[in-house]
Amino acid sequence: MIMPAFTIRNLHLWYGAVHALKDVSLDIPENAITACIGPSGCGKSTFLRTLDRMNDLIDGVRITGEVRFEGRDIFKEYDAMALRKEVGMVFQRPNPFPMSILDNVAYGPRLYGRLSKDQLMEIVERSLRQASLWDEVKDRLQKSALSLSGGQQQRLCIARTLAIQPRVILMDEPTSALDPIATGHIEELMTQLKERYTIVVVTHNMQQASRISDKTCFFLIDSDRCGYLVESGDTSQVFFKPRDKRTEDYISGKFG
Amino acid sequence: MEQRKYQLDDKLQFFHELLVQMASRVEEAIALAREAFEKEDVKRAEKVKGDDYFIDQMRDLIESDGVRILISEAPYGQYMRQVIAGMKIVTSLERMGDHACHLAALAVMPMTPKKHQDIVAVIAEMAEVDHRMAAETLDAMVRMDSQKAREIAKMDDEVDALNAKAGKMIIAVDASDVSERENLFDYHYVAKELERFGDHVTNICAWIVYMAEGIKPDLN
Repeated sequence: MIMPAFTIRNLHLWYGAVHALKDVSLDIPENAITACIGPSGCGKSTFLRTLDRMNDLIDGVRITGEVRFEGRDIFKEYDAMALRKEVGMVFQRPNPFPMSILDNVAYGPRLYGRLSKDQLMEIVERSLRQASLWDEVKDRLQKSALSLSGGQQQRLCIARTLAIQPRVILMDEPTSALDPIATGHIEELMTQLKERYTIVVVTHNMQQASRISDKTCFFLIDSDRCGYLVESGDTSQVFFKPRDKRTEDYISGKFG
Repeated sequence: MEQRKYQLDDKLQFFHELLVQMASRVEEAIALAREAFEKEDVKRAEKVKGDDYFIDQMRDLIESDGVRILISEAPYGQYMRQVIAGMKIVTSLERMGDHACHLAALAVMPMTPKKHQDIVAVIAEMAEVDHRMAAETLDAMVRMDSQKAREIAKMDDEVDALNAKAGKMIIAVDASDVSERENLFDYHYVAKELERFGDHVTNICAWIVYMAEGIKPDLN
């Protein structure tokens, strides 16, 4: 039995008066890839952003219910910044900072502590290696990150996340802006990374979810446009023998 | 939830109809083959043989259609199971068509008219049970009725028992004449094929259960 990294119970979220997510209860296992799937607007990204408290940055957000990370309540027992050191995020479009490759990766570690140049270089190299980018950029660390291709930029963003040594990596459609080859690189990387990290990924690509994830959560939107969890379970079960007809129809592309 | 009509529905419907059509051809073939064999009717036997070509063609068509659906629609869940099971079922159906053909071929034997009417009767009875199984399976397939599929599979025991009975009767014959021995050899051979026919039906039933329930039961 894999220990849950996150335990979510009866989570509700409102943007002002809009009920965006209702009654989500779920365990996210450690050292595994959990995929969140569902049509646009079903609240899966909102759910993802709850896990590192990024929704806190939006005015008028109200959250009820409980989210525990490694047993501790993320709203009561964590400072948001401290939580985000444990829980990193990679976004849909690669968003490198307009600075050198090295500075991109060193950004987080510099923010979180005073480090010697050697220590910093060690972190940069390790992070880039883990992100399978080191060999491609080791001779041009001082070049602008914007000179990299889309797929490389996304791996750089992953390296930047890894540099702060998180326990969890959240990915919001990390390959939707990439071609199939770059997507393949990222997926392979994710599979390697789950040995050491807990990964939660939002994806619209059903094949991707079925290929790389261990666990799948399917969200839908009700008639009041509020997102909810339809079913979650082992990926093979959800894709080959879903419990809910709505899941079956959605993953086979029958509605959306 | 707004439910629209999607390409996948049309494609699966077409796929399913092809499958049902092929199964109904096989059902016809075994019925016709039995008649041809019993009545030594060469005309009927020729028809079974001709129809087998059509059954083979349908197998190729359904297989390639299934592959196309898997690639273009990437279905999951029950929709995926329907295609996978369909592609497995056609392989069994094609073999069943062959078995029917071999039975029909015995309408004309080295020793015509037939001696050993008792053995002929047992073989005809096997074909009769096979036909019943095929007809019932067609119905279960149309309605994707897994409970019925489980019931049909049990009929295979009847076929097995008849096969054992035919075997004993064939061995008991003390044949001195060569063409008589040839006939007996053919009877033994075709009884075995009709026994296999029942096994194929059982396999199809297991795939119908897989289609409907997502588990592959052992129905043998």
